[in-house]
Amino acid sequence: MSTDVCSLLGCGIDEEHAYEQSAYEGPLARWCPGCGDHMILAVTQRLLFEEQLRPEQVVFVSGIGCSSRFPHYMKTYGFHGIHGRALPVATGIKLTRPDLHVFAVMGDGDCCSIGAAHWIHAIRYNVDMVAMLLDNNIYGLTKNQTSPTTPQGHPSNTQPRGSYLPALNPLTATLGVTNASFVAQTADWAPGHLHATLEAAYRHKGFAFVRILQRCPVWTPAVFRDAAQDPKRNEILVDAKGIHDADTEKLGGKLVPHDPSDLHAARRLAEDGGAVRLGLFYRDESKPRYDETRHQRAFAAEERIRVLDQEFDRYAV
Amino acid sequence: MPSDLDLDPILRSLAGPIGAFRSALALTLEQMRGFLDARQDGAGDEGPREKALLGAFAGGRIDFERFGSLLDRTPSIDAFSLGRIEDAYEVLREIEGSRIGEVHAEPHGGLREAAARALATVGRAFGAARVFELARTGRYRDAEHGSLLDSFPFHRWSRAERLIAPPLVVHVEGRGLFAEPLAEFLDGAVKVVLLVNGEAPLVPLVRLITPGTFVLQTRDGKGLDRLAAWSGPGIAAIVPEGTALFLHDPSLGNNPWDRLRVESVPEQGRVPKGGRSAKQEAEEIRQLQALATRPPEPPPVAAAAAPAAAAVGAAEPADRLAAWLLAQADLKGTG
Amino acid sequence: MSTTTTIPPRARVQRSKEHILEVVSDSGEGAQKCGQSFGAVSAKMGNGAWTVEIIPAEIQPPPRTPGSASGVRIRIGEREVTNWGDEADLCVAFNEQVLLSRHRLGALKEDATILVENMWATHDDPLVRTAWEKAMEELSGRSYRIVGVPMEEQCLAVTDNPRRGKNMFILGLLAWIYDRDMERVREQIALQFRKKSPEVCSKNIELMELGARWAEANLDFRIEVKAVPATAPMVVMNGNQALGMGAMAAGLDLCAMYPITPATSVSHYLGEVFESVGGIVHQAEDEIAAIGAAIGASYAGKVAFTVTSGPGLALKTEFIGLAVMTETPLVIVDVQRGGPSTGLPTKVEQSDLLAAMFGQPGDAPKVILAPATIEECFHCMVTARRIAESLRCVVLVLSDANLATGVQPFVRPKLDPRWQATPFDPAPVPEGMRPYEWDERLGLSRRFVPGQPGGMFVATGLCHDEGSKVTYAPEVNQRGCEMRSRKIAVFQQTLLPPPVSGPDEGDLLILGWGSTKGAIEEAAERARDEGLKVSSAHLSFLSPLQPGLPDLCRRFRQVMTVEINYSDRADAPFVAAESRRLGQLAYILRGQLLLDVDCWTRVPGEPLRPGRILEAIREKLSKGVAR
Repeated sequence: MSTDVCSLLGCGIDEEHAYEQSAYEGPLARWCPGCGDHMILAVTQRLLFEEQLRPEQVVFVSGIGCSSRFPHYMKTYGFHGIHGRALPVATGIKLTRPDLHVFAVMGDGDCCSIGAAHWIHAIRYNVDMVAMLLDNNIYGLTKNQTSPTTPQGHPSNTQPRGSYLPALNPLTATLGVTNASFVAQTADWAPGHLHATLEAAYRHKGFAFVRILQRCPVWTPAVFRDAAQDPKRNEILVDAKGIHDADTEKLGGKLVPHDPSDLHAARRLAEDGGAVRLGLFYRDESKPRYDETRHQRAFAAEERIRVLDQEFDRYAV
Repeated sequence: MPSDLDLDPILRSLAGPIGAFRSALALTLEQMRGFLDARQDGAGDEGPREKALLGAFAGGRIDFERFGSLLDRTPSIDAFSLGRIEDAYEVLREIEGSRIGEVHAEPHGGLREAAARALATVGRAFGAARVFELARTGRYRDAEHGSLLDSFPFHRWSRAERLIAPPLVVHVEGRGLFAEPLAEFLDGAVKVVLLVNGEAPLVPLVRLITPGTFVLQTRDGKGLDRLAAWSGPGIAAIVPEGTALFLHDPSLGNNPWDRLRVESVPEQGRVPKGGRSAKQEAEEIRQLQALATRPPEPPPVAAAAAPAAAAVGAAEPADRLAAWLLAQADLKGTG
Repeated sequence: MSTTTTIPPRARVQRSKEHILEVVSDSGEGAQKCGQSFGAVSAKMGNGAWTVEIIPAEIQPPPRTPGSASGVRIRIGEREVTNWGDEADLCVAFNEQVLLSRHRLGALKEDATILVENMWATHDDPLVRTAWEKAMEELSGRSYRIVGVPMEEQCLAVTDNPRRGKNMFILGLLAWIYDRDMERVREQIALQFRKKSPEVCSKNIELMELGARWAEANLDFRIEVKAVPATAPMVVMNGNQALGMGAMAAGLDLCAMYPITPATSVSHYLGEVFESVGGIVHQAEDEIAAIGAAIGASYAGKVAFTVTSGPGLALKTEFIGLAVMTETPLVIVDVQRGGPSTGLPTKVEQSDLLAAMFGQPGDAPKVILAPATIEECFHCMVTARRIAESLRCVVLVLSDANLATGVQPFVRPKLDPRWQATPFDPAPVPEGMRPYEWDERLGLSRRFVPGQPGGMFVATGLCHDEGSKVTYAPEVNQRGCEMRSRKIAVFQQTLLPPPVSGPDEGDLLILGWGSTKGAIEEAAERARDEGLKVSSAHLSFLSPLQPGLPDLCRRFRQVMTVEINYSDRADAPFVAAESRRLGQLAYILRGQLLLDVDCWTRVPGEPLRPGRILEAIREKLSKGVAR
């Protein structure tokens, strides 16, 4: 997502302006202390700073939920919409304004439950954007209801005797959709890896789906406790074409070689095993992009009028 | 022979970048037209413009004047600034109506000057856009900005302008062709295509190969589509027969030998062609071959330094975040 | 087989100011193509014309059943024709079963002329012969003039597959009856088959000419409806094509939609040509995503619209509220069909007015307008866009299935390049200016768009202040609601009173909206011819209402809306004043104006006939109660 198109207007203004990190930082985030979202926000701001993106060229789109407060804490453009519908809005933006850098930030209820239809189709459209799934396995904002990714047996206010069904696996679901082009998993407790993953996602041309395992200290403090406290339990996917973060790799954990162009291997690795797996599961930039296929050049008014007049000739009496 | 080469297929291969520039041009023109339209009727005369904008369905149903006075919130602008915007609009119209970016270089060393002139001419589009932005915000000063519409040289283009610039096609004589001065313009996403006439050196572009620059020598235009698709700067030469053919595509990898595909290197003749000395010619061929050859041993994997190790031990997420951010900042500062 | 050597009978020419004809066949036999061609040729010759499709309820209904009737009604006149009229004067039927369907619906005049394929009378299958006889018996109750036409037998001379060619044979037959310009008919066929091979085209022209020759040799009547060629250049199209053309003329960049009858054909048309002016038709994964993409594009500074019908409008509800809340300009076209639920997908109704106005939970003020003619379908898109952008609001355009499929000639619009203007000023936002810095008096604020330096803000569906900062302070929510409502009130102050058709005082004022305009005005005019003091006024804006209505209504003893939606009859069993459910416009007018507005509404799944409205007028004036 690094094409930097621009109309003539504005190209010459504020040239060679260097942005401080603070240029991307909005008001103080008001998530709970210890919430993984803080780290994700900080790393994202860091990425924008490193890429020196013009803040006015960046749009963060979200739905509803804890994670969807994200745009409010950025100092870019943002669109905080309705529950589950971040992706259609983001698609509309990128489809008509390819010059903008679009990020969609969603929670697990947002993306995998109420917005599941959009999720599937956004993968297939493969419109150039970064889709961040901030997955804490629970509905947090509405206070502790079971989400599709809640582990089976985990009690909540809506399923107090424990979640009845096995959790939905967003990675296998994404990898199962035709035209998926970038699927990665990272975690809020591995900031270096998170950063490297978001950077790779940002640079990917197409729909970059990043599932970020995110700790919720209030409702699901236990779900990622082992993985976060004992990184040796985790598995890190490594490859020359994959995502690199020396820190994470050194933290221990098993290094699993995985060629991200191998879709079958990606699906196998994405299946639930005992370990949390971080890394790039799949990437293919050759997949068709709907925004690219449908891109239309701008027409001058006279040109449009000329074509429309010809069109009217077909109906002329 | 290059001289037989029709320009049209070349322009067709470059349709992407040309289209992007034209698209931006059309958008800018429309914005300026809208701006001027909204102000041309003058204050107190909103009726006709509002009537046109609301269309026939509003006829007899909406009081145009009232609609205009209540709902049209176009801020006014002084006559001087408006005049400058009109001038800028005319310049853009002129560029829109012209064939963009074809230029003939004078024989004997005029290549750089020809390219600079052509870029400065097409750069007037950027100049016009700037005049518009400056004038409507009341920042236009004749002394400082007066020349923007006449000529806007490349060295003054911003990063964003260099990214949207249209490609340049230059007709140039092969004899005495030294393309190195063009390196000055290979920035952003600027693309230059040289149509080389007559006898030419064997590898005139080899000295322009840098990691991020697309460089192509081709006889029939093959590879131009890849140049057009490349997001960075690039140069191509449509060369006569008997010249080296190669393609250097930065998107192919991190090592020169991954990026460089040499199709053919002709035997160096006893009499060098195109105004190079035999030694120069040999040097350039050696350079091309050196770049294209993978060294015998695999390069050692660069072990990344780990300044962020401090983050590992920290217990609290906030501390770890702080540690990590600090580490990042340090890295930036020292690296 | 008849030959051309027979001496043509001297045909009696019947002169008429207007005529209604229908062509009906089994679904898939091409009666629609035939009728549309006939209507287009008539319009091109200068007749007033209104063409409306007769659509079977199913995609592949069994042939030779009343449910299979598919075709076209064409009303042509010396003057402009504004509606589909009452009963048909002439009907061409490809079999007796589809004819029965029209007969049973009361679509045919008492003395209508009927031209029917007669091969069924002598068919090999005894069941078919019996069905024919039974049908003829049923039809004999009326004084129709029935003429048998050997359609397939004739067509066999030209084609091996007469079932596919009959429609062009009938086009020729009608062209002779109505004395159409044969050169224009040939041109029309060529246009119709322009994507097929030249052989296909010439074969169809041959069939058409065969039909004309057969009619000349065998029919003893012709009909003359004088055509006065228009002086201004005209175009002929249906309402959905007009909406599509209007969208392009209005400078729209994106049409985001999901297939739904009867709205989809707007995007069919756009899909063909939108890209040639730089536009995109985005078929989204569902109705919700369609409006979401349109809102995204509009938020990003493009001009976007979405097109749907009732069920889709229901699904879009939450996003409409979001567009209202974020003050994102948006045009929504609703081509209304019969409801509730899936209802009558292909048939007309005007039942979405209240849903459009009040369908979103919370207060969601917006502008609602309704085109009344096909020409207005074109022009209203320009107006809708301008209003949406001037007010940063949602504009809902209520069309319906009658306009969608009706074909009518109108003056070719002159396109104005200013309609294509980019929708906002991308100049950097002055320091300190906020994204909802409402002008206290007008409720208006300047729109910021991504890419605009200095304008960075987060649009949100949550309650927000001038800076788009989320807050739940009581006074902030009150003020936000006020500002979003105020701009609609301001807009209302720019509207003009609706014109009155007929004298501006009397015994009864009929109020209508949308596609019923032509039928209402014709009915009122006929009532005035009978000496009744009836006038009508048609509302183009439903939200906000046009001014002057209280004064206008007070000049009439009684006021009644005529609409195609459901209301209880005042004298229906158990219906009391408190429980009587009213026509949708009547609800609004009573609530808004505190006037005793009655209503006469029907939901027949077809356009209202002027004759039925006339009966309602008579009844209202004789009893004071319309039944």
